[in-house]
Amino acid sequence: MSKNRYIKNIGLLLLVGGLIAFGIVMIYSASCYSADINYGDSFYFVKKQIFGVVLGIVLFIFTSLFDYHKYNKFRWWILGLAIVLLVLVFVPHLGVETNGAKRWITIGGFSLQSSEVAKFAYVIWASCYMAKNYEKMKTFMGMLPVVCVGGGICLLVLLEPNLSVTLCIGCVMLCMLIAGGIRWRDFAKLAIPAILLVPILIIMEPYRLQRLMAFIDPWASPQDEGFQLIQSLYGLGAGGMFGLGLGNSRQKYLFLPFIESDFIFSVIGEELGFVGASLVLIAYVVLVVLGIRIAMKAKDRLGSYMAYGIVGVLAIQTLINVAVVTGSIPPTGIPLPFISAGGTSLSVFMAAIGILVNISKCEEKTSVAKNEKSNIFHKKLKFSIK
Amino acid sequence: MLIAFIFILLITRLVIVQLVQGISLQAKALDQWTRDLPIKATRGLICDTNGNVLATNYSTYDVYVRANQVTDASAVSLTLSSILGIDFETVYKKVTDKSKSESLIKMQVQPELVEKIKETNLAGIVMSENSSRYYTYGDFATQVIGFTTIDNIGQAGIEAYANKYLTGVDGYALQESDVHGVQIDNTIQSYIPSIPGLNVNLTLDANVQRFTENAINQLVQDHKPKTATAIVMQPNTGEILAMCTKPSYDLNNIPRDNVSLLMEMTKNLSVVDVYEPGSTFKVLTTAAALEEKVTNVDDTFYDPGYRIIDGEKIKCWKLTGHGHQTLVEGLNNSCNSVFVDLALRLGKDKMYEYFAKYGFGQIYDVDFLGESAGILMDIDTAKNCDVARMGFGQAIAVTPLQQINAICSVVNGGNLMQPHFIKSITDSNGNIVQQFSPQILRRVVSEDTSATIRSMMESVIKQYTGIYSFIPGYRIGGKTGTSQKYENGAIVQKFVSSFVGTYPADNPEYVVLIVVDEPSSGNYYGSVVATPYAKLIFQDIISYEQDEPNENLSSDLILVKPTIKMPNLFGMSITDAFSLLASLDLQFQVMGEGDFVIGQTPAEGTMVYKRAMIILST
Repeated sequence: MSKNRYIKNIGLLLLVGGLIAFGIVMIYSASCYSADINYGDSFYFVKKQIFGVVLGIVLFIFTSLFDYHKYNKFRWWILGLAIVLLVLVFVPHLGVETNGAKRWITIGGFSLQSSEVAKFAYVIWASCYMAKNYEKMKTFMGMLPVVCVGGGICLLVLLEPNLSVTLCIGCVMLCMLIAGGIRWRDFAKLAIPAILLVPILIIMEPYRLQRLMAFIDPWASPQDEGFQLIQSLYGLGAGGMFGLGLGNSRQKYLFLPFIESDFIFSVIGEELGFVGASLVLIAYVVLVVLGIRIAMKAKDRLGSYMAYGIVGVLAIQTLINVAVVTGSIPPTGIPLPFISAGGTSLSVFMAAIGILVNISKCEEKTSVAKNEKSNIFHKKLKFSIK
Repeated sequence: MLIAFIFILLITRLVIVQLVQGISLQAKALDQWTRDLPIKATRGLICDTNGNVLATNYSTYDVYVRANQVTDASAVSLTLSSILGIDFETVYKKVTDKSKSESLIKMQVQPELVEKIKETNLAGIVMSENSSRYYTYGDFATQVIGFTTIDNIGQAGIEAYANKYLTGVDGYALQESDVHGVQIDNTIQSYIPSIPGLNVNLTLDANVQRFTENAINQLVQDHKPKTATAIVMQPNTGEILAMCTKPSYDLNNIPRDNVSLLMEMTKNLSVVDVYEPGSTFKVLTTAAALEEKVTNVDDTFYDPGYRIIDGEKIKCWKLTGHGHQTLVEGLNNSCNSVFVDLALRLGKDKMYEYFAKYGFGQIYDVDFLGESAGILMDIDTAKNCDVARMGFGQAIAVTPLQQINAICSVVNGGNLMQPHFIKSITDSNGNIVQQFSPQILRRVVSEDTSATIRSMMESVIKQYTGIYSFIPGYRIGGKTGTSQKYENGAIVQKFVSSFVGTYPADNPEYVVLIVVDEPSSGNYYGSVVATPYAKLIFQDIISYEQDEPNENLSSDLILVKPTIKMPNLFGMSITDAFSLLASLDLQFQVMGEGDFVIGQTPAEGTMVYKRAMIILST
């Protein structure tokens, strides 16, 4: 039985494994110089990433064996844990402040990015709630808890502050609502105030406006706001069609900050060219397609919602990351799933893949989720990104 | 399908960035990826007339730490602080400051210290090489050679004057570097080599310079003057063979702390400073008077101890007067009244004509910076009594270089030569780029007059030493000078003592001028304060040239026969060589700072004179 679930998803698992292995190679290539300068060890980030892989495998095995229906029982505990982690960020000595933002907590030498956990905790909680109350989802009051919990998590992340993850969780919430069958007018009741809120947030903190302007014309402030984007574009531009060759990035010589994490896609484009970068994007498309297939074939609503949520997080993060690196949207820091250096993100995503595997094990021949519904989901997903 | 569509949008964006804008982005990025690393051209050498290197280059290192690469901060700090002699706390602070990728610990560290640091093999210490100037003989022709800034730009002396020759053309390497400009190993993209600076070969002769330095050091020790300066010239070519000014300092250890003192000691007084030449000027007045035929060697003068000119009493130094004397006796006695007469017979216009011919009141445009023209009273305001004083070298201020070159012109057959420091400019392969040949500026006096002056100057020396030879067996000419200084228009008890000498007196190859400002030993006569030191220089030159003595001239033949056979000193320690030479009644001088003899002049087996000067190289 357990053998079956892995063989059944061998394509998905090979793809994820391939992305992780490819990620480690790229992390080494991108960070060997800066790691040597800053930490005296060119394998510094690689070692951390491998630790993340080991932890991720443990979590993956657990979640792939753990019946996803049991999450229903623990949904409040999971949500509670995520919120506690988000609050702990603000506790002195536990929370780590970098670049004016508190995003990490350290416990006994381990550091953890709370918002990475919170994303999936929310997906699990919302799936459980919606599966249980799927009739109520057609009413405004019925779907309000999904919005309130999502909004609450968004608020906590926003306080860190971490605008990009807030945006990501917001999009995931939208995915969940659409998957849950929200009505158009309820959606409008929520969307209009939310859209109005965005300019207010920007005006309240003007530095966000500057970052927004930087995206439109990075050359206007090449040393300040535009710097990172310009450096990212330099890397991509230098890559051309076939790239400079693995290990030949020049941007890694400290020009591009966060090159091994948020901007690793730029190095991929620089070293492997348009061809390599496109292949990576196609790999994600395949991954998303495989995920949606699992969601569509899930034997019940809970599995379907959960799979949609997981695929939603994966797709949204990939799209935002690539859009940022290519200068298509304002720069924000969000890792590329499976590839970017970052232990929390990697192991949590691996755990999520484990859940997908577990859902696929139990799939039925006839899908609960209707084709019509999933089409709406796709359309809205696209809408929300743009 | 729709998700795939968004991915396609992003792939389109990739096409735009990577393929459409790729080339222009790359062109912009190239600028930040590479640095032009200047490859410093080595500065040219400064050599003496025989090719002995006076100024050369050696490597020093700037030592940095990269805090983030340091594994053992306390060991690194301890090593650097003990080897480089810096406070431990200061180093430790830099070693542990991880906010900077690189911190400078010390500049211009000697190679042997760098070797010691390298031996410790500690991570995080970085060294970068630089070229620094090294002066072979240290405190040697200090004001002539000069020095450079820490960036190797000539700041004083020949280093400054000939900076355009000495400075090479920097090459560069296009080198990939990280965001801080730290170069990435093995990534040189293009390389344009530097062109080393040209070598400047001076007319200076290191041996003659050494003799002069030694003599003037002795003078300073004996008479403690404010300053002393000496020049040795080749009168037939205008080449400056030696030039020495004291006080001075070690060019390898320049006292940059006290800037005003350094500026003072850096002045090449022979070229930039003026003095009242006093009695040495009488030679020039005599030459002009002979040339204009207003006197002759048999002419007689009467000196009562003074002359009254324009109602002013001009005293002779011997207040009781010299009585009747010939022109030759007048020069021997250095009788002021004789030269007052000669100056007045020539008249103001002729006197000024000769000043111009001799080069006074004008610059030579010599190959050295800061040349002074001297001070000459305006011809229209000069009264007869002023002209009379000028006749014996007062009421006129000249540079030592002007004075010695004018003397050269009246002993070399009558031509004023262009004095010069630089003999040739050669490239690093030894090819001559530019040669500075002797250049006659103008004829000043006739060959006959010159011959007369040569014999008169020899007669002065004979008179000075009485029946004994000045240097037994050798013909030396000369004239002393002593002038009292004026300060704020009043005469004070301060003197400038000088001596000008020629060797050989009948056909001079060397002319020496020594000017001593304010000797404080109690003695101030040129014959005591300056002459004996010129004699030291001549003696050394004679030993060095191995000139045969003229036996007919000597009253003391025992001294002048070469009776001593030169031993082989090669490989001996300096102390052993010294005792051996002392036992043979020979003198010696050491060139270099080693402990063992690696060369000797004269060679083994040569017959040398008693008390001859032996030069040892180490």
